[in-house]
Amino acid sequence: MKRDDIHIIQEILCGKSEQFEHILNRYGGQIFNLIAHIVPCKEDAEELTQDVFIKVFRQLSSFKKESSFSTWIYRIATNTAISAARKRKHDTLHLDDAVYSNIPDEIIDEALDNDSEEQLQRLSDAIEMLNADERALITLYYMNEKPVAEVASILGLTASNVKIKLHRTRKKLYLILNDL
Amino acid sequence: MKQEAKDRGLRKAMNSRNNALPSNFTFCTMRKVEEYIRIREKRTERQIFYSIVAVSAVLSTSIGIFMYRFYGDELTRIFKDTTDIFLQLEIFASPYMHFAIIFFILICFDHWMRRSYFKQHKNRE
Repeated sequence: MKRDDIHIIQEILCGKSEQFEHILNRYGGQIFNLIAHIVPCKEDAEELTQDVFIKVFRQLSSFKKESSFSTWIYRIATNTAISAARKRKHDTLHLDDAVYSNIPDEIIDEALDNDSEEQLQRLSDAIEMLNADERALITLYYMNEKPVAEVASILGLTASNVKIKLHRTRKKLYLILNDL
Repeated sequence: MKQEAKDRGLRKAMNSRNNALPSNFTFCTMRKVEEYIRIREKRTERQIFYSIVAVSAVLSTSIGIFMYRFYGDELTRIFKDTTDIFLQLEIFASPYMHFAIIFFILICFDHWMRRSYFKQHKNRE
């Protein structure tokens, strides 16, 4: 955790609430990007980002430094976005477990490694078909480039759980790409 | 499972959708934070006020009970003597006294209504 974050938090808790502006400037863009990838509508994402930072301010005294401040904010943001996305009914694809089992990893790797323009568009469309939890997972891992341990901490899962879910999500994306 | 060197396409697809916050986001959010602080302070003031009222009521009641237990007879005698003096003056028998009491109640009611009205209008602004 950056020393600045501790210093700023202490000042805010001592009554200098204007210091919260530094937190907004530092994390606002990242959190908005994360939420915008989980929730389909951009206007909703803006509103939710604001809600997240109000929650952060209200719960600042309960931040126990068991994780980094960044992880803590990301956790609040992810939970808020996933709850909001679940409430708004969005067309997602649900697949049975049996469908996942017979796909070789090499084929999936090839499909997801392809970065042609056409494939990027197909991947963007396929990502829209994932549910909120899956979108949150791949956003944290691929866009925010968080390590597996930190993704696990943010999502409240174990590291092995995160790896399994990532594996399944990649397979699901492949299946969606093939059906599109 | 090493995804760092793999999934270039997926990584690019994720990063191609980068969104920017509106420029006034920090300003708007800080205003909401300030409003939250103001509401929280008002709530705290109200809690302190009610606590003071409760403690005062308990203290007053305790003092009243103490005075009654140890000086009850003396206080009853003094009160009786005072009310006898008033009754002898026949002030309460006079109809004008009734008007005076009603007038006083109406003045208090008018004062309270005016305060509520101006408070509501101030909150709306």
